[in-house]
Amino acid sequence: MSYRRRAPANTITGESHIRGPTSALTGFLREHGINDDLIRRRQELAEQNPDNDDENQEEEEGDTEEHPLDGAAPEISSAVQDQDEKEDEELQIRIAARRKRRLAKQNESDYTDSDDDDNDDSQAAASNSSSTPISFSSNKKKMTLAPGMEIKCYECPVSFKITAFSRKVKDIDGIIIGYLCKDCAQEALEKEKLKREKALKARKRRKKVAEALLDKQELKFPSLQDLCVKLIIKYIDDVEQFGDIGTVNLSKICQILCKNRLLSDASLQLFLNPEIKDLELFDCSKLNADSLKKIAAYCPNLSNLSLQFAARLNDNVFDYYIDRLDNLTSLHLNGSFLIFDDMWKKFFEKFGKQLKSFTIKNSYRFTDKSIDYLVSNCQVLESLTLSRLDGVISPTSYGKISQISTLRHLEISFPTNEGLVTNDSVIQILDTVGPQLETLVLDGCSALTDDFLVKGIKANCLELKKLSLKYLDQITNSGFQELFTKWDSNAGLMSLDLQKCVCLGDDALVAMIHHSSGSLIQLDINSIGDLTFEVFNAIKKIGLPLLTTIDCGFVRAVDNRVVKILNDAAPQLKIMEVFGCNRCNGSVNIRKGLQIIGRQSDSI
Amino acid sequence: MSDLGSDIEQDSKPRSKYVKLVSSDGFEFIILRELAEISPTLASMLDESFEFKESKLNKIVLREMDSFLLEKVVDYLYYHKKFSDKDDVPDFEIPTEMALELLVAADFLNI
Repeated sequence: MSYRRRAPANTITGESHIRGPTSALTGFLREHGINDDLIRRRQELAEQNPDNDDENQEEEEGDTEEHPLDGAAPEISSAVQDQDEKEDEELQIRIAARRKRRLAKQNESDYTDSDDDDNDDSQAAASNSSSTPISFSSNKKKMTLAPGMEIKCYECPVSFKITAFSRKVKDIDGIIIGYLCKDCAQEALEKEKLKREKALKARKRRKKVAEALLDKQELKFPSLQDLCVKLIIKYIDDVEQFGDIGTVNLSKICQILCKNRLLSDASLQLFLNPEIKDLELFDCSKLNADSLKKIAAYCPNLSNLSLQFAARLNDNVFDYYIDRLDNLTSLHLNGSFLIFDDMWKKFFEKFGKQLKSFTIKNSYRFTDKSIDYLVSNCQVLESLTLSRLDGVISPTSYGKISQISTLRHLEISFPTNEGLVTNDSVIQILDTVGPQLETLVLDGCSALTDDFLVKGIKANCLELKKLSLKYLDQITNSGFQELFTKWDSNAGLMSLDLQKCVCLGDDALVAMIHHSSGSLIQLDINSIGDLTFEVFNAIKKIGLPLLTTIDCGFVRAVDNRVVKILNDAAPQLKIMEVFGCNRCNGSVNIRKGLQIIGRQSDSI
Repeated sequence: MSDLGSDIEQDSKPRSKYVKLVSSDGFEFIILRELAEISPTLASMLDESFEFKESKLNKIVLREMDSFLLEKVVDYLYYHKKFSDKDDVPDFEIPTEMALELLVAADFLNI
């Protein structure tokens, strides 16, 4: 009861007791007896006073807030009540007069403003303005509109009272040209919301497309397997065991986990079972020595083991591997710098007879001695990668690889100093393994010159399909021309990587294209700055029927014409990278299926 | 398609637009043939040239999938049909506890 009794006392104006939710400001104003009527009346009073005619709405609001009316409010309202009708009439007359003036002005002046309005979607209703009782032309003069005034909605024929919360309609210059009624405001708000959501979605999609582009993939519809894998990755810590999800999915999960650096001791367990023969972990940085030991304990039948970032793979663990993994034929290690010479000796002595593929990267403990053990024990080795081994410091070490006559794939890259891989040592290797060699990677062996191209590669490599010579800044046009001219013993290269071979030029590339145009699938000519349009003219004439990917970033000559030529001359081309080629923009029509990556104009 | 006995009769009839997928607990899902053919596994089962029982009966019994799982699979097939050529694709909801089972099923169906 007491609550009920109190309730009317709060409502000074004696309005209905039932109200919807109101803001704190509304409550405060009501407590002080300030309501729409009062505000309107004050406004009308101000209108009568010509000095205050141009006061804008914000000032009015400020006034009421600065000097809030206290309990005297009801008295004022009753005092003014008598004048109400008169004032209303006067106001109407005033407004009508102003409207007439405006209309007349509008007719006189040009219509540029309203034309502009018509172009703008949000202002589309501007043309209706003349039909509303109070017409808001696009006149630059400030409007005298204040809360409490009754006007017609800008969008629909409904009349309503302006409040401080009414939605303003502004023209392109930001000048208020009208107000919206409650319904229209709601509608406009929803429209805006929708627009924002759409823009957000579009941005997300563009981002996805761009990401896929950089990953050199096309944005595909997600398969159910992908969706499931994504979800499983999210809850990987709760998974106890994968069922029969297939090796492809297993390796997919493993790859995504590693990519997100989430492979831990706990999640490693999920990938180990005694039946698997291949295991590839792309990020072992979080695995401790015990976990790494588990690999050999749980998977004794492994024949193919690849561990990247396996820094904690030490002598002890490796010893365990040597004892347990009897079927190992292929080992790829990256970053395992805790394995010492003696353990390498033990490894090569046990597995020398069966090891077919061996990779060691980023380990300064793999030394000249280790290479000796490798060379003297491995009898069936077909693939060998030695990269970034700072412990190999003898100039004769790399030359010893020539003793492994079974090699078909060889990579020697980024020796600790360039003097370790010389023309002589490479020629020595190629003299014995050259005839069956299919892959030769000599990235960063920058001491090599034209000599090894002619005396090593041209003389021996009949089967060579993939050649990578990144950062070889001493090989020149003449060497390349000599290599590729009348090199009939070789059927043509499939992959050629010449990134940053800065001394090469048109003649080298033209000679290569004449030789290998029919077989070339992948070509990297990144940063060969001296190339000119001539090379691409040659491509236009000869054609590259199998070329699938090309990286011609930072080649100044690459422009829209070149893109067009490659688009036409290489029907299989799928990926073309043009980073740093500022003259490539989106204005060339390319066929579907060809992706151009790295154009500045493709901003998101 | 009740008379599966004679192949000749079967050939002369136009193939039904619908096929039936049966879950391990006996629920039957009748879906459009083109939907089933989104899955290469189901498509080859339904391929007439192989003359599998499934292609004659237009009915595939999936013993490894219970009705909950198969319902989700069918859900995905419709999702695929509806949105595969659209730009604005809503997320496909998968209950977390179903993810592993569904992955096994999706791997089998190759979708």
